[in-house]
Amino acid sequence: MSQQPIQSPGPVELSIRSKLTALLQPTVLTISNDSWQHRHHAAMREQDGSNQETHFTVNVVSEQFKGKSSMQRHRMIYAALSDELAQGLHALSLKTKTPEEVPPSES
Amino acid sequence: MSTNFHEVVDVPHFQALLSEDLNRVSLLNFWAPWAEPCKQMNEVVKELANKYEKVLVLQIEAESLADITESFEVEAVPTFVLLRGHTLLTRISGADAAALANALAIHAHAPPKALSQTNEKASVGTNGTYAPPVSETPEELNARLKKLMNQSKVMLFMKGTPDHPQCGFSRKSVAILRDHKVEFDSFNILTDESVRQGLKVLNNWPTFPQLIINGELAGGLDILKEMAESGELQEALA
Repeated sequence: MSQQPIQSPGPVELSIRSKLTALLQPTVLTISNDSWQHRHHAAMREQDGSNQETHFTVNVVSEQFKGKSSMQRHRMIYAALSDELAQGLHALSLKTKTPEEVPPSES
Repeated sequence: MSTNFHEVVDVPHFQALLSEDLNRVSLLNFWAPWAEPCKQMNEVVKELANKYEKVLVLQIEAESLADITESFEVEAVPTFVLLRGHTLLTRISGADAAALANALAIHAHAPPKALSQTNEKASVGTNGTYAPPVSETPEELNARLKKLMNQSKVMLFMKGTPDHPQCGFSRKSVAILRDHKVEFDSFNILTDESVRQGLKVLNNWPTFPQLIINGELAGGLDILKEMAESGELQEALA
């Protein structure tokens, strides 16, 4: 894993966290900002490129996913984040599980 | 001497020129002095700059402006990128003068509204190549999308082509399909902005790549990974 500058969460990350928490009451919610790995796109943008919020990996464990297919789970998340996706948020890598689905070694 | 043609000097120069007018169409010409086809295409580009005075034409020496070259994921010269503001309209790889002229004919006019309501029909390219309609009704677009989705049992709507993917997620999707010996067809959404935006709406899915099985959205890279690991992918194709 390449070195990443440590940064405090930007507005998009905070929004992802608050919206998904409200929607899913997750037992686990980890958000990782991968935008830095795509920083070469930054030459195109007007911002200074230091806290890009374009690509995230989101790992959610929630009871709300029970009985739903992966596609349905992903759609729930996309719907909650439609404003962000219409603006700068460009890509989401999603891992969605119910508490029962998490392997014992991880819980 | 037209004032819409510029040889880009550095990144700030590039950004300043683009930011002057975010509704303006720009043509980026990535070239190198040692590549023979670039000499001809540079002449073509100059002629197009004269013809389309409102288009900003930026000549970018790919190797000396590596940051810009990388940010557009340009891997070979010549490559042409057409933008409106910062939005990618289309890209053309290789010395294809006809395709480039075509692309300008389609995009270099007043900013289109998405899914415009006019009845203008497609213009045919200079040597008879097909150009996607300049404007189509939402119904026409959706019909075209459904046809594309059913083009093959497995369709991957991706950025770039299977042999030249333009994004890491698209690249990985191709790799998984190939590893599992899945026969599939693909469509490069970077070449057609209406398909790119239309598919997001039709499939209610905001990102690419999109994997379509039997004419229906199966999901993106994450779901493809899960399906491959669980065996669900082979079942779906049996």
